[in-house]
This record gives sequence, structure tokens and C-alpha cells, in this order.
Amino acid sequence: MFRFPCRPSGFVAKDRLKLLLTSERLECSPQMMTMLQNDLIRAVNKYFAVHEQKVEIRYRKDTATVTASIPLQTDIKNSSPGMLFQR
Amino acid sequence: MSEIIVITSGKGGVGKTTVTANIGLGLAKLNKKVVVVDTDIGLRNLDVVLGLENRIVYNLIDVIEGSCRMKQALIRDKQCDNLFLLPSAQTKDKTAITPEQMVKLTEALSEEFDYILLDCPAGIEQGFKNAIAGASRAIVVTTPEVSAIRDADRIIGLLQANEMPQIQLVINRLRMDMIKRGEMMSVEDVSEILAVDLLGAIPDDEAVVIATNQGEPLCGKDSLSGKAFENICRRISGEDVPLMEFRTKKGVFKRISGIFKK
Repeated sequence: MFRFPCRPSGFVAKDRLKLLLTSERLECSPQMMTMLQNDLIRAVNKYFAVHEQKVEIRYRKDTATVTASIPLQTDIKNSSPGMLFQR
Repeated sequence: MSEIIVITSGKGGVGKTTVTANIGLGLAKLNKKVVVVDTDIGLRNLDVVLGLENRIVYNLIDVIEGSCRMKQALIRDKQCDNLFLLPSAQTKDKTAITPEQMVKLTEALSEEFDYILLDCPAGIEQGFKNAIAGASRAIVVTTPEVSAIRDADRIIGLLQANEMPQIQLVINRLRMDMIKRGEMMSVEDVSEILAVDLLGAIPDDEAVVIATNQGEPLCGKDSLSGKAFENICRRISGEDVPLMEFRTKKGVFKRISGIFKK
């Protein structure tokens, strides 16, 4: 990212604070993460058969991101698609 | 009807006590009956800022424990007959009282006074919990520094979690020369970051230091900060007073600052 060579420190302070406070304001409990994980599994399960035991959710306060890794069933026996999506 | 206001900041040394003393005096000069309560048990401060340190006989703990009557502990201010101080104890610590006792105390004071101002200790521990217990309005004091603003944000979060009905911001020690150069965050920058209602802004003024040295708060006197404090008091009492001097200067500054931003 381009920065002005000698940027006045007032702007630097404001930018630092904005970043810091947005991440600090994100309070996140383990309970909330479990609920999110269950909701995600339910949502994805509508379209793919999810390997539920291998689902991993990571929350990073510093970058303010939630990353989810949701592996799908590869075993042909368990991979009947569209289980909940049938009409 | 009386109003119970807590003055807090999180970080120490941003000017809570000075702000409390000056708002107290300012409201008293507006013909309100005001009591300022020093809730910082163990570290008494408000008495010296008001210049009343030699008149203390009883304190807040004595009142709570019932060793004296409320009237005996209240000290009348030198400058203004409507202003009273309830000093804190120096021998005990913050755990000597409970939030419930503070609620009782403020309720007793509200029968007598229009405004009860609670000078909160720094930190977020017992002393903070005691001070906010009885209050229906909070004034968060900060300076335009990274550390003070971060702590103010924490305090605002805690006040919101405790369902404080009204939270307002006072930005202290602003240096217009530095803001002009872009080397200090402006009133707008700070209030944008903290996102609470702005009650007022006070310039960094040597008159405040002199006033504290002399033990005579300067609210309403002929100085930039004295005027700023007076405006804050008028806003507290419900008047609509614009943030004049800062806004005009900022208009020019904002335009210049636009050039430096990508």
C-alpha cells in the first residue's frame, strides 16, 4: 500500500486506532463459535455431504476474519447429495 | 429532579478530576445545587484541585459507615456557595465499599442536590464498578492520544454492557497548533473513532495548570479552557451550545488534510 513519505503522525494514530479497536470490539465466545459451526454445517449440508468431524473454524481477532474449512464426504457410500434439497 | 453523573476515563492522568471540579463549579455558577464526590478511595485528589484540602474532617467512608451525618462530611466550596465536596478516605481502599452502598449514598444526595458528580478512579476494577453503580449518565474523558482513546473505548463498552442510559465524550488537552499540522488527532477524528455523543472539547491550556496550582477551578473565567468548560456545563443543563472554535478551524484543516490522504 502506498504511503505518503512523511505522513503526519495524527493520521498514523487514527489508522492504528481504527484497526486496533475494530478487532478489540469483536468479542467472541467459544459458545458462539460452536453455534456458528453448527449453522455452517447445516447450510452446506443442503448442497454437499459434509464430513462433520473434520470441520474447522478459525477466528482471528487481529485481522478480523473467520476462516472455515469444510471437508466433504469422499466415501461414495456416505456421499448421497441433495439429502435436504429434494423437493 | 436531580441527575447523577459519573466522570470516568479508564486511563489515568487524562484530567478526570480537573474536569469534575470544573463542571461542578460551572453547574453551580448556573445556579444549580451541586455536589462533587471523590470516589477514589485511598487516593484523594479532588480536594486539592478545589483547594479544600485543609477543611476535611469526615469523608465518604464515614458517611457510609454511619460515623457521621452527611451534612458533617460535606464541604462548601470557596468560590461558589452552591458547590459542595464529599471527599474520599485515604486510609481505606476500594474494597471498603460496595456498589449497593454507593447507590444508597447517591440516592441520599439526590434529595438535596440538583447534580451529583462522581469522580471515578482510573481502571476498570472495584472502584469503577462502585462509581458507575448509582449513575444515570456518564461522561468519558479522553485525550487525543492512542492509549487514552483505546482505554476510553473499553470503558464505553463496559458502560454499554452495564446499560448506562447516557454516555457522552469530553476530549481534553487538544492542541490546535498540532492538529493544524496533522500531528494530533482532531475532535472529529476522536469522536468518529469512539462513536459516542460529543459533550465538549477542551484545549490544552496553561491556565488549567495554574488554576490547579492555586486550587481554584477556572470554569467560566476568561480563558479558552474556562470558556470551553462553561459551554460543557450549559450543554449538560440542556442548552444548545455549538462547538464553535474547533469546528471553524477544522474546516480548513480537513481540506488540507485531504491532500495528504491517498
